[in-house]
Parts: sequence; C-alpha cells; structure tokens
Amino acid sequence: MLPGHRVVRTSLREVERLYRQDYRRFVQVAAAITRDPEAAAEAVQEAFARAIRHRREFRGDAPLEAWIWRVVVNEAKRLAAARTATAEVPAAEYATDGLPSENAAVRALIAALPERQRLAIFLRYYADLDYRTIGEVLEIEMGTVSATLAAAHRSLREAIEGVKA
Amino acid sequence: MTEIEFSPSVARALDGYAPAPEGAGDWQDALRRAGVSRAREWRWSRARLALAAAVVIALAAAPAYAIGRTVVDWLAAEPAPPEIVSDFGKYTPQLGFNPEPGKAVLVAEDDYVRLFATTNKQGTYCFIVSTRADGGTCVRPTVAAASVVAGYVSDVAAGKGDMRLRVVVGRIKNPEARGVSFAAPDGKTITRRIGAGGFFVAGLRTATVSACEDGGWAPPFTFYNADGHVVAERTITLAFRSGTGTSRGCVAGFLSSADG
Repeated sequence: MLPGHRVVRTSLREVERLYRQDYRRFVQVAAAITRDPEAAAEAVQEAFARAIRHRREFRGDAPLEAWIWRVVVNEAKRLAAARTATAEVPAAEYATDGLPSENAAVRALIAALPERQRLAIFLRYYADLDYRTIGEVLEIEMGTVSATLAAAHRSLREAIEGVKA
Repeated sequence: MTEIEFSPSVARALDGYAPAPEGAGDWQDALRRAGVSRAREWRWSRARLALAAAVVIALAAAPAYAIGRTVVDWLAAEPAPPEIVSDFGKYTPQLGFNPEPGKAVLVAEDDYVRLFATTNKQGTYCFIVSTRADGGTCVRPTVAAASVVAGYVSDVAAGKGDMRLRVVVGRIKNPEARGVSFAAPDGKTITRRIGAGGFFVAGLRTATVSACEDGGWAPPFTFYNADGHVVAERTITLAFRSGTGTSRGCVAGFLSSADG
C-alpha cells in the first residue's frame, strides 16, 4: 500500500485491466447470449462504455468483476432481444437439405433452456466464474446457482444424448 | 459445495455453441463511447498503456526553506490539466487530507508518464501519476521528512509480449540536483532528469522479470548537479520479498527513503 490516504472510488485502470484481461471471455459469453459474434463484440464495447461512465456509482458491495459481468450480460441480453425482433436465423444453423442439422438441434436445446439456467451455464463454462461471482452477476444465492447449474446440465445432457441416440 | 463437472457431450455442445473469439478488443473505442474527454483519454491511452499509481512523496526536513523553494518551482511549472485538478478536488475532507486543486502542476514527466503534484492544507503534498483515475494520494508528514524518497508505484503490461512498464517516482530536496541514476530490475542503468520541486518520474520498459527476482529491488540512487557531479547517493528499497509459501509475494507500491 502506498502511504497516505487513497480516495476510494472505482479506478478506470481497474476497469481497463478487466477489459484487457478477460475480453475474450466477455465476448464469448455475449456471443452465447446474442448468438451473433458481431453483436457480441458490440455488446461488450457498449457494456464497457456504460461501465466507464457509471463506474463512480459502483458501491463496492460486490467485486468489480461481478458488476462488470452484470453490465455485459445485461447489454448482451438487450441486443439479443433487439436482434430476435428483427434478425433471421443464420443460414449456418441449417443443413443444406433445409432441415436442422444435428449441431443446430443441439444449439436449439441450449437456447431453449430457461434464461437463468442458460446464463448460469454460460458464466460457468465460458467465463469460468465461481459460484459466488455467478450469484452476484445473476443476483441469486450461491445455493441457487448450484441448483440452477445442476438442472441445466442435467437437461442438456439428457437432451443431447437423446438427440444423438 | 460440489462444483459441477461438465460431461463431454455437454462440453462439446457448449464449445460449438459459442466458439472462443479472437482479438483483444479496442479499449480506446470503449473510452470514446463512454465520452471520456480527450485529455483524460490521453492519460489512459497514450501508447495504449495503463499506468497507475498514486504517489506520495516527502516534504521538507527544513520546512521554511523547502516550501519557499518548492512553491516557487511549482508555480513556475505547467498547470495540471482540468481532469487532474478535478481529481484533486474530489478528496473527502473527513479522511484527513485537503489538496489544493488550483495549485496542481506538472512536476516531472518521462515518455508516457507524467507526475502532477499539489499542496494541501495539512502542509504536505498530494500527487497523481498521469493516467490515473483514482484521485491520487497525499503524503503523511512522517514520510515527508526525508531528504530523498522514491517508490516503485506501478507495474502494468506494456503492449504486446512480456514487456512491462514499471513506474518509479521520487523526490530529492537538494536544489542542486538535476539528474538521477539507478538500476532497473534487469540491471540496466536508468537516468532521468529532475523536474520541478526536486521530483522525478521514470517509466521503465522492461521484460517480465520480477522486481524481487533477487529477493528485492533496492538500487543505489545517485543524484547529479548541472555539472555532472554527485550531490547525493541513497540506497532505497523499492520492493522486497515477503511472506512464505503460497502467500510469498513481492511487496511494492510504497515510498521509502534512506533517512526517513
């Protein structure tokens, strides 16, 4: 620690550090939410712009990382909602015969999970966040995180293996 | 609590659902979108480095002399930009320091790093290294008593690869001092000029070698006058190894002196 008094407020440097350190994880989670790589990158940029503007409102009652993740998730959800209202399903989701491919079917299973389960899975698998941080991002208890992840995993595993059977 | 283990089938599905992206992002774009001012952007973006560290440095051992000289020097220095003045103005008075934002000036600079300082109502000083956004730090009187102080106050990634930018700041009260030399962790000799009020700042681009590689970083600082003659020499600890086992670490971020 430096001697003397340090003013307590969120440092732009800390926000930048998280951006540089975890940029790919932010984009990957945003891509999972938006289902569009370009929208994901846009969501991350907008989310960080928002975080920078509002960083002095961060009250420190949860880690800055969780606060940033929450901003990113919310921005991605916002863009996903806008995209759903206007966009077509990407052609790559379908096999050449016009029927859904196996991969597309698996993706549909993931997309069909309840939102909380989906987000918990994304934050755990792509972002590698611990349960406490996931809980802070999604504003749920740690125990609920555990139960949500277990339910999501069970649903996906059963459904995927059913798809492939 | 048992953490979930993803089955191979679920993992494969998730890998295909959102493949890992490429790229490192564009921090400058995020800053622009946030409406960060050009001046503030300069602080954060120049050479795409995130520099950090509030700085605390000493006051005079002989207050009348030092203050008189320092104030004159500081007044002659370039005024700090508005965002620095603003940061100095946001201190919480109840916490015991009252910077005088209107007196903030640029006291030293080195390549990507600029050091700003101002007086405070406690009779010591407050400092900010450029690119900061946390408001800086004020010096305590006990620290302000030394004739020479220095600190290794920041260590951040510097662009691509394993390069680091390490920031060392300090102050000497001897008014004759015009330059300072000391050794970087990799052994390279660093020489910088003394700025206003006896302050100096050095931004060191070095490979990723721990400052505690050899147990610590305590280089001799040699100060020179305008004729190149040595006017002061001090060995100052900038970093040291502390702790044991997994908690063993390299401690830095403080200011120290040989005589304070």
